[in-house]
Amino acid sequence: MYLLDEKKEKVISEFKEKYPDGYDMLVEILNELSAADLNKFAEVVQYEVEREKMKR
Amino acid sequence: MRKKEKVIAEFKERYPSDYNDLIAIVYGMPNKDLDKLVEVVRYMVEKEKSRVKKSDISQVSRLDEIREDHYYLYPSHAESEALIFAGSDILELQEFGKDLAACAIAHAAFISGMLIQKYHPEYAHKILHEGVWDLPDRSVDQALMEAAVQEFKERFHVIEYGSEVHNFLCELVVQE
Repeated sequence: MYLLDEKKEKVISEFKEKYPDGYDMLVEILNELSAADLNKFAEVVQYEVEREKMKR
Repeated sequence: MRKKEKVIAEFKERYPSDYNDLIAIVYGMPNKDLDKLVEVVRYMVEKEKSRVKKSDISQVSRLDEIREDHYYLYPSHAESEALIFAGSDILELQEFGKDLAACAIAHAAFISGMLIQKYHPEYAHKILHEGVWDLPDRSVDQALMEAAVQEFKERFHVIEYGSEVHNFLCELVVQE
C-alpha cells in the first residue's frame, strides 16, 4: 500500500516538475469540482487524451 | 451521442472554464506524455477524494437531508419496512462510498447507527466505544444486523473525532 502511494506521489511530482503550469491548473480544477464530479473529470481527461491522440 | 462525447459535453457545460483549461493542457503536451497526464489526473483525483472525505463530513447541513431521507427509520413506521429500506440503502451506500463521496460516510453511519439503536440500544454504547460485537439471537434478521454493525464500524472510525457529525452520531447511538 505504502509503496503504491510512493509510486503515485513520484508520478505526480515528476509531472509537476515537468509541467508546473499544467499541474497548477489541474490543482485549481480539482479544487473547484464537487466530490461527485471528481471521477467524471478523470474520465473526461482520458477521453480528451484519446481524442487528441487520434487527431495527431 | 456516444457515451464519451456525452460525458465530455456534460462536463463542458457544467465547468466551461475548467474544460478550456484542460484542453489547453492537453494541446500543450507532447504525445508521449499524454498517457502520463491521464495517470497523474487519476492519482490526483484519488488524493483529492480522500482529502474531501474528511472536510465534507463536517458539514452538518447534510444531516438535515439525511434525517429527511431516512424518516422511515423512526419508530412510528413499520419495523419490517425500515429494515428492508435500511438494508438496501446500506448496500447502495457501499457502492457510493467506493466513489468516496464524503457525505456517504456520515450517511451510512447514520443509517447503521439508527438500525443498531433501534434494535439493540443496549449494545450501542459498547459498539461505539469498544467496537466489540457479539449479537444475541433476536427476531431481526441477523445477517442484516451484522452488516449494519460492520458498516457502522467501518464508517464511523473515519469521521473526525469531536466534529459535529461525530457528536451527532454519538448522541444518536449512545443511550446509557
